[in-house]
Amino acid sequence: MKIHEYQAKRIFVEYGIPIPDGDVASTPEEVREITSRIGKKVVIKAQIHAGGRGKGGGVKTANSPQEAEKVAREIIGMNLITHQTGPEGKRVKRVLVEEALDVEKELYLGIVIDRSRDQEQPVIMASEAGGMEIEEVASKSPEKIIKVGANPVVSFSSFQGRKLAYGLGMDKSIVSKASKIIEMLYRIFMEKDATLIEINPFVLTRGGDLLALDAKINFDDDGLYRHPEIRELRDLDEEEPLEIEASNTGVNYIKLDGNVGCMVNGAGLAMATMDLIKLAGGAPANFLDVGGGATAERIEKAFRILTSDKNVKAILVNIFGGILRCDRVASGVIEG
Amino acid sequence: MNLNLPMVVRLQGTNVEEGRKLLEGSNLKFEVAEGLFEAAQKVVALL
Amino acid sequence: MSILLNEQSRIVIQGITGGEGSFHAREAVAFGSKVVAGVTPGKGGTDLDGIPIYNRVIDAVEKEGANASGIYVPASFAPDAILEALEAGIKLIVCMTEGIPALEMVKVKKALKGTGSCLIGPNCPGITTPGVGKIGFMPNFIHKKGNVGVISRSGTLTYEVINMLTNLGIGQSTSVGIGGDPIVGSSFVDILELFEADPETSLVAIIGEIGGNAEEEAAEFVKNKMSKPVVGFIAGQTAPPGKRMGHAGAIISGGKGTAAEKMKAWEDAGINVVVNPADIGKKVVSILNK
Repeated sequence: MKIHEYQAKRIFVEYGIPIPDGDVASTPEEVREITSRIGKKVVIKAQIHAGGRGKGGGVKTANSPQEAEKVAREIIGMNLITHQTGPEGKRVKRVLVEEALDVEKELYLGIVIDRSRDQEQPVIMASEAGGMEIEEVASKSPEKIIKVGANPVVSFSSFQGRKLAYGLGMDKSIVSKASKIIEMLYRIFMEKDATLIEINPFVLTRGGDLLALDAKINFDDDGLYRHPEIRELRDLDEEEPLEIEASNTGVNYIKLDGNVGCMVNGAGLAMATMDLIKLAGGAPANFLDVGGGATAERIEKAFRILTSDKNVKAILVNIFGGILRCDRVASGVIEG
Repeated sequence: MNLNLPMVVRLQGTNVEEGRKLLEGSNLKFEVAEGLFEAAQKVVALL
Repeated sequence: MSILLNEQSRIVIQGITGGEGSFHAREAVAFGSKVVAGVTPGKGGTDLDGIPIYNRVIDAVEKEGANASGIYVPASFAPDAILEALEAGIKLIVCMTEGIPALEMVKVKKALKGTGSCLIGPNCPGITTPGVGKIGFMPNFIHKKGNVGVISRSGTLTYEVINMLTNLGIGQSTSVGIGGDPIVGSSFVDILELFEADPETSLVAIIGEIGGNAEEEAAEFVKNKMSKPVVGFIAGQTAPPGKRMGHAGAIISGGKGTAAEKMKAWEDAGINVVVNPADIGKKVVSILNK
C-alpha cells in the first residue's frame, strides 16, 4: 500500500526524523495562511502517489503568501501527468506547503528488502547522488551507492549508521545526527511492516541541519492486518475503482489497456493467460485471479467487474480446476 | 451477464465434464477451447 | 529416489482441524501419503479419520515419528507454526499459508540457517512425489510417476504444466511449488541442486515469473553447476510495472524483474526457454527424444 508524502512525513515526525516546517492544504486560501505563518519562501508540492511530480509541473516555489495562493490555484485541481501516472494523469486534491531550505547537499537514504539469496533481509542504502532516481544511479554509477544489510534478529547497531554517514563523506560533527536518523528510519521499516522507505533528497543545509525533504513509504499489504493506523492512511481516490471493488470481494484484479477480458484461477496462470492472448495477436484488458477456493458467487462478481470495463470486446475464461471445481465455475458464469 | 460479448471458455481439471454440461445447457453463447493456446487464438479471432 | 518427499517421509499436518487442513489431509491420504499425525493446539486427544491429533508438534515427532510437516494455519499464526516444526526437529516443512508479512519471513529464514531443515513455501501449492505421496494441494489426478522434475513459483500454472506432461505420457520425479512470496524458504537454486543430484530426475522444467531475482540466480546455477537439461517459461511477459500481479512477489519495480530480462538470463545460461506456455510439454518431449 502506498501513502502520500505528507502522511509519510507525519510518521517521520513521530520518530523524530527532522522535516521542513510546513503543512498540508486542500484550498488556495489555506496555502496562503500556511505560507504567511512560515514567513519565508515556500515550496508547494502536489500530493499524489506517483513520482516525477516536479517534472510534471506539480512542484513550485512562491516568495509571498499572495504568490503562494496563486500557485496553489494552478496546482490544486490540476490533472498531473508524470511518467508514473500514465497518460490519464491524477487529479491533485492536496498540496504540501513547506519552507524552502538553503540546501548545501542533496543525498539519498532508503531501505528495501533485498531478496537475493545471500541477503534476504532489509538493506539500508545511502548515496551522495540525491535527487536522482536510485534505479538510475544503480545502473549508471553503482559505486555511488553504499549499502549495509540489517539482520532483524540482531537489531540496529550504530556501526551501520557510521558506515553510511562516513561513506557519504559527512563531517564528524553531523555523523551521529545522521546515524540517529538512519536508525529511526530502520525502526519505522520494521515496526510498520514497510516494503520500501525513501528520503530523496535527504538534505544537508548550509546551517548544518539534516532534513527529509521528501518522504516515501510503501507498506506490505500482508502486514496491514496488524497496523490499523496505517490502513487508515489509504487514499481510495488514488486507486482504480474496479480494483477496489475486486479487492473487497477477494478477487485480484488489475486493469490493463487491451480489449480481451480474462478470468483465470491462480496468479501465475492468469499472467500466462495474458501472455497467451498477446502471443495470439490480441491485448489483455485485465489481470484477474479468482483465487483457489472461489465460490460460484465470487465468480459471478468477478464477471461483473470484468465486464464493467467498457473496453472489453471479448472474454476468455481459463480455469484449471483443482480445489476449485469446474461445475462451480460454470454456475458462476451462468448466474453472472 | 452481458450477453452481447463473445466468449471463449476453457475448463480443465476437477469436474470438468459437469462444468461443460452446465454451460452447454444454458442459453449462453460461447465457444469451448481445450488447449491453452487454442483458447487465446479463439478469443482473439472473435474480436 | 525422488527429492524431499520419499518412502521414509512421515507427515504431520499442522492445522489439521481447519477446513483446508482436514480437506487436504484426506486428499493426501487418498494419494497414498503417510499422514501419521495432526496438530491443533487444544484439540489434542481427538482424531481425523483415525489420524491422531496432538497439541504440540513435538508430540507428533516423539509418538508418531513425524519427520515432515504440512502447515495450513492462518497467516498470523503461520510463522509460529514453522518455528515450532523447526524446533521439534522436522526436516521438511511445507507451508501453504498465503499472506505472511515479508518481515516475518525474514526472521524465520534467519532461524532456519544452519538447522539442516528445509522449508518449502509459504504461499505455495506444496510438493508431490508420484507413487510416494504429497504435502500440499496439487490436485491428485494430474500426476504420473517419471523422470521430469518440476519447479514453479505459481500454483495453477504448475498444475497445467504437470497435466500437460502427464497427457503426453511424461511422468514426474517430484513437483515442487516454491511459493509466490518475496521471501520463501527454498529458492529455485536450492531445488535445482536437489534435482541435479537426484538419479531419478533426467530433466527439469522450471516456471518462473516477474519480480525479484530468483530466476537470475537460477540462471547462474544452471550455467555453472547443472549438467541436466532444463526447460523454462517465465509468466508475466505482458505485466505492467509497479503492480502486484496477485503474488506478493510478482511486481516489476524500477524496470527490474521484467520477463524479458529473465528470459535473456535463462537463454544465456543454456536453459531451453519457451515463449508460449502451451509449448512446454512439446519442448520437454523433443529434448527427451534427442
